[in-house]
Amino acid sequence: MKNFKKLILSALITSPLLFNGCTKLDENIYSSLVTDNYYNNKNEVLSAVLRPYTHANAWATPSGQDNWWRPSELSGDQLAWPTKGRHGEDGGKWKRLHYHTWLVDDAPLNNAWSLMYGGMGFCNDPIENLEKRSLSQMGITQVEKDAYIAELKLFRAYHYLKLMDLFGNIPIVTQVGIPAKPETRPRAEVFAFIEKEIKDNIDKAPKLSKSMLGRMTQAGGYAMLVELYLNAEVWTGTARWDDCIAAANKLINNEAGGQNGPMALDPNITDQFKTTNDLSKEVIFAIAYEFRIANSQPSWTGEFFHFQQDRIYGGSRNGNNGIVMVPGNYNKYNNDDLRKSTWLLQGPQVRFDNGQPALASGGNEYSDQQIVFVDEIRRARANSTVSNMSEGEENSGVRFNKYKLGNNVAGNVNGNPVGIDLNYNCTDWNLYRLTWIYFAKAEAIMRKNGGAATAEAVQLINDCKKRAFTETTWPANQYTTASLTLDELLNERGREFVFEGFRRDDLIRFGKFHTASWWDHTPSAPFRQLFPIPLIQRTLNENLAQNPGY
Amino acid sequence: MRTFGGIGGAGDLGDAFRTYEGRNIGEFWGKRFAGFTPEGKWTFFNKNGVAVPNAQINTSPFRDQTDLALIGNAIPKYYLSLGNTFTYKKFDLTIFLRSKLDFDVLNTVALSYGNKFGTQGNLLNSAFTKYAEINDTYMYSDYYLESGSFLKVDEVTLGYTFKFNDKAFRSLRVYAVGQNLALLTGYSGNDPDLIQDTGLGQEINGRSLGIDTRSPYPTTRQFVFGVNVGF
Repeated sequence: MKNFKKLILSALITSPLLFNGCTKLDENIYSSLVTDNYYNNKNEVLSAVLRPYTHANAWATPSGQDNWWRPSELSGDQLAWPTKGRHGEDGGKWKRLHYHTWLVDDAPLNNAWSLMYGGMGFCNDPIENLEKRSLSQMGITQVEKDAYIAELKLFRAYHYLKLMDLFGNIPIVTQVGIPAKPETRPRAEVFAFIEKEIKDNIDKAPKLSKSMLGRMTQAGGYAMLVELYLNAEVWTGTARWDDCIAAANKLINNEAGGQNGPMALDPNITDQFKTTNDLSKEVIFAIAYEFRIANSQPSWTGEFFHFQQDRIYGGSRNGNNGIVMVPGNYNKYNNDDLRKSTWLLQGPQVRFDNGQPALASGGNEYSDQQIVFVDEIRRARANSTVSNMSEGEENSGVRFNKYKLGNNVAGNVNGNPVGIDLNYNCTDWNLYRLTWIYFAKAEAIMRKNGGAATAEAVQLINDCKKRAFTETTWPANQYTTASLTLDELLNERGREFVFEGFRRDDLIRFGKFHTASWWDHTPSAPFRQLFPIPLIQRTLNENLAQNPGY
Repeated sequence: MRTFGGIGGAGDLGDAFRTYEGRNIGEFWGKRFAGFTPEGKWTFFNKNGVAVPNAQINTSPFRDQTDLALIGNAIPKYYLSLGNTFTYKKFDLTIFLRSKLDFDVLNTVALSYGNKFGTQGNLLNSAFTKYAEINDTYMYSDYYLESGSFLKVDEVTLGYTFKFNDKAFRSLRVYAVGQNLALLTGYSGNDPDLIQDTGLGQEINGRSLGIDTRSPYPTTRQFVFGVNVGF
């Protein structure tokens, strides 16, 4: 019996040695696609190249996330998300942006950092993978490969451009995971890196065309250069007005392609923002949406729409009754300015389907009453005259109506029947459009000229502004070299680019961001012109230096 | 650090719980109420003990930065129960008592329906009495944290037995059972017995640890009458 036990024991001990034949441990992975099994054909290559664009919807547009767009607009003088009754306190984060009292560990800023660096990583990854594979393996030509890499490097530069815009001094990483803990680079060095990346790759990237819709091209590259040089004085200390003008001319002279024939200003103020704005002639770079085919939809409804906005525009998407115009901005538009009536919602609202009053519901201040957006933020229903970020109510503030979502119910507008919009919910979001380039060039000309307008600068701005007026109203509204001052240019930029994400940069460039007062906002401090490096990031990576002042 | 327990309702109030390494689970981390201004606006204590408005409260995850503090724990320290049967002559009496002690509950009923600011919906009477002072938006803080301790009389049975000198029909007992007869608690929201006391970060049938629900189904009181026949 004892021997039998020993036999069993030795069998147990030796069996792993005896039967140790399993040395080939490669496994076939069926549950997910791993990098080694990918990039096997052009379709797979293309889907990897396009991945950062779907991500950019989250960080570069008003997507309802704490991203690049929110701090860029909500820290400025045009837009705010005031608390409206029981809604919108949201932990005080909107007030901290508005009053410039954000903290080093404000979750929204960390979220922006994470989203943007995440998107940058989505560029690094395919660049690396395309470079280490053979053409035959991927089923693409050398020309295609070079174009993909150039496109990705340009788009990566866009991520760094916007990261630098918010945070200033940031680490530069061009390989996935290497180094593990990158060091902070000074803003001027980041600027130089971005400039070099764009210049090295712009000629290898495709020109803008219909087939490059929603993607980074030479046109996007030149727009980035315009933005870099327009802000160069702030970002590096050295003005680059001539470079700004030269880059702008590439686009104005149609040298970088166009999405719909030669690039040109759209003839009106709606082609850029309607549901078929993929047909705009002035679009340079946009985040594209195609709801019918790809089920991807614009994501700005949450930020801008009222709880029952669907009744007003005849769709089926609503929002959080969030972002409104800071009081005073609405009346910076003249009454005959078509942008005032076309891009903004103010006053009593009517139902799209039958023209009857659009009623609010849901038990807030104006439940079962007509929705009336007003150019003031106060608790009017409680007869309060106090106006600040804490004292809004359901109807407070003039609303966003710049981009149109379209309608998926039949309408009756002023007695006229309106059919369903087949392009409902497909509106693209422009990140650069030619109007912005016109304004940048005009500003560069003026700043070169000691801040005074020249005939050329006036012409550039008038070419854009004219579209917002009729033949009768235009003469009284056009600029002259005398009336187009720098302050007036800032005002006109506000009117033209409201909601487009440029306001913080504009205020900084005009020296107003930390010095000006607006509504209930009082001047802050110079160091607030940069956001802090999020504390969570500095905890994860001790090589990150904090920006001065924080 | 991780957060758990979405508070829900208007105003994006976030999560009620934080779990820090080395600390207990079930801990409420939130603002400390410092009083209302004459206009009825909330103020809270920051980490230096200074009363400030909400937008100046630092909600950092880092404990050396945050103004949020440990304000309670949702997991009861003591569970008690007592079941006893008393007999006296032909009477029998069974009593079952149950109690949970020493835990905190976030009174979301008061938070949402005890605040008249910005709503035309239905409100509790307390919105105009106990909470009449509030003239500000919804906030999560220790102001709405209450002790959930309770003692419940779960079941009482009273019976009486008749005995007969008959071989076929020996006894007859009539009894009455009452269930959920009494609740002794200082908690002002719904029945605290219905609030989850386990399952951090897990919502079960719309109920989650330590957070009262805004749409509870009330507990019922049941009575049963019966007879036992002894053959």
